[in-house]
Amino acid sequence: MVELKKVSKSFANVQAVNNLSFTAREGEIFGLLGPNGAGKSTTIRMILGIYLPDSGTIYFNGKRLVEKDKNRIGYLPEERGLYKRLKVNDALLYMAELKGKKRKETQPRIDYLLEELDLLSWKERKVEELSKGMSQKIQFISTIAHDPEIIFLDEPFSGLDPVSSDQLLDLILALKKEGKTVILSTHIMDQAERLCDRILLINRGCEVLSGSLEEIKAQYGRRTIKVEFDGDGDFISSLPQAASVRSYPRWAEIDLKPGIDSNELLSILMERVSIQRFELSAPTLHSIFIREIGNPEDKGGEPDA
Amino acid sequence: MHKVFTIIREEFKMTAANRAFILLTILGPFLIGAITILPGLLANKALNPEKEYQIGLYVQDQSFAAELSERLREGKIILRHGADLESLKSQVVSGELEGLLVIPAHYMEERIFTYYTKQGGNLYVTQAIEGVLGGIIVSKRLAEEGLDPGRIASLTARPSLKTMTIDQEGKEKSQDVMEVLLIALTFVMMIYMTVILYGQSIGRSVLMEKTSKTVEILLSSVSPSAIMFGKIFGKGCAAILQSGIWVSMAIFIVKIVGPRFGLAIPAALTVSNFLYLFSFFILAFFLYAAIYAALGAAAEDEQHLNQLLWPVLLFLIVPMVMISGLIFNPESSIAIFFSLFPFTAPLVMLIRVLVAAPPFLEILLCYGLIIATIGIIVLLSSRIFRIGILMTGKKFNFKQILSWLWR
Repeated sequence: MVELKKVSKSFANVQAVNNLSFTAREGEIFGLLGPNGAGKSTTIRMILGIYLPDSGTIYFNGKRLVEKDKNRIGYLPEERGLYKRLKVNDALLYMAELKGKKRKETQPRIDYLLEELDLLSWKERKVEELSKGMSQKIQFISTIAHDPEIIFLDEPFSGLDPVSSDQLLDLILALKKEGKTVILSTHIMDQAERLCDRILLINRGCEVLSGSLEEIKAQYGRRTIKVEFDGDGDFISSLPQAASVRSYPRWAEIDLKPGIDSNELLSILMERVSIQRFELSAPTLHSIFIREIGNPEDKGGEPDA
Repeated sequence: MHKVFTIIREEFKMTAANRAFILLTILGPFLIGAITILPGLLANKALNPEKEYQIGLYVQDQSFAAELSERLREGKIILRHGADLESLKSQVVSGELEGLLVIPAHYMEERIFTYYTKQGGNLYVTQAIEGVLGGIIVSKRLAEEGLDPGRIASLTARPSLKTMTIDQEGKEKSQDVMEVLLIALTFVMMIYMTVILYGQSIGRSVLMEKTSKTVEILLSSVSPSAIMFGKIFGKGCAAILQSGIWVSMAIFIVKIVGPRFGLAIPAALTVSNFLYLFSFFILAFFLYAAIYAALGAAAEDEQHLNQLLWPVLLFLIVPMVMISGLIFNPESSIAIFFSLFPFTAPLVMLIRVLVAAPPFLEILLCYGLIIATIGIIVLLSSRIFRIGILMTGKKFNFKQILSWLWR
């Protein structure tokens, strides 16, 4: 279990994290969400003891985090980096050894994980020979090879093909079943929505919203319409009845403006396109994100110092 | 502590189990063999030309031509006598002749003779001609005055100095000053090159881990100081292994191979001098390794790292620039100062030990000062390392980096 209480950190003139509190419980996948530069990486680095917070405290299973707790943490940073000149197996053993594990102890688990991710035949190859996706999976194995209790995953799916993504997803869900705490940091909301039990959305170092996904969605009510259609749907993005729209060639997600009835929208749509599906639902995490913060793709640029 | 050893082991493996390292370790002894034996060989053997040089000669006096030809033939310079100056010149231009020497009619009174070549002159040929020509003409002039050239030569010969070293047991050995100079230069060059080579490798490897973000994963497992110590000592072990092999090889050549095959081993190549070389190299390595590691952590890219390293390199370059002064005057106050100033001490004290006999206490003081400085530098470097390793996206200057010491 990881608990942050009123943690703040600033660099020069930038307040990277401001009075942040949250708890990630045992056996849950906790989403630490926010746009680029929101303070996610700084928060994770503080929990890992890479940075010291300016104020506030970080608890690890109820006690203050000390150096040897690092052995019980696994960390997959956003930017991957393994020793290129080492063989895959040696690189994995080395990283596990730095987590206080003996080589003999770790080898069976490494073999198991390599097998799960279809990489066993690459065990004796050099890291530099791996493709980008493969080295990403190896990096993931290095994160959990020492069987940590708490696992930090910073954008774990970026750059993976759908098959690898699913393999990784299964492993993450298996970790949750084993009772591990997984803290997932991402700005891709669809993934967070599929995986996370609870989330914390931050922006500019401050909490924007937090809680379980159901609680959060309930706050926003069922005011989102998912529609599938045939025909030219270009006009949908400029509908006056919509607060915000995610529009694709044959599919759209529309947040209704207050006071607008869903039937009114349906009749407008029926006049211009042929409706295949029309569903009133709670908003997706993506549209909540956009409503609270703006388009995640427009943000960023600010380095994650 | 266990983790530091793990990093040391991996760093050592990554450095030593690598083709370039093994190749350099194997080639090193040949290089050392060459520098230990070559000076002696070069000093004893005249530089003999490998081929014959065909040189044109234009002269009126046939007997003079015959004398000149005979004397120069010993040095493989063959004179081709010709009567037509213009055709001789064209032979030089076409490359048939290496050069053309023109002796004027009244050569006894002339002060300057002309030698034609196509492009510049071969130094060996011009010097040989100049020497033989001068000798013959001076002898002729002396003979015309009724003087005996042989007698004049022995009367005007200057005595020269032979240097001998004596040790505590009273053993005497001849020592050539030029030889000592060459050996001091080689030793200092070896330390200079290897310290820079290893230093660069540490700096670059820290920088690479920083830019590839490997360091973030490491930091989630160990402290920054553990990473720095692990790197320095890991590479340090490789450096000790490599230079250890070289020095034992050199001692083997000097003590066993040399005497058995009757090779002329310079007197300055003693076991104790090799041990001084070894110890000063190791000290210089650790002194500079910590600085390289800290600057590698502070740098943004390789170009930036090289910029930051300049002020540090100056300390290594100063002794190189001063080397001839240090060799000719090893007991001057400036030499003593630089041999005790920790950053130049490993190089300058080594020179002093080789060419003079500094008091043992001074050598001890030098070791003490360097070791104390290494302690301080490692401490300061780990502060810079800790901050620098996480600073990305900006090129800090030297002053800003030093200000991290107080953060």
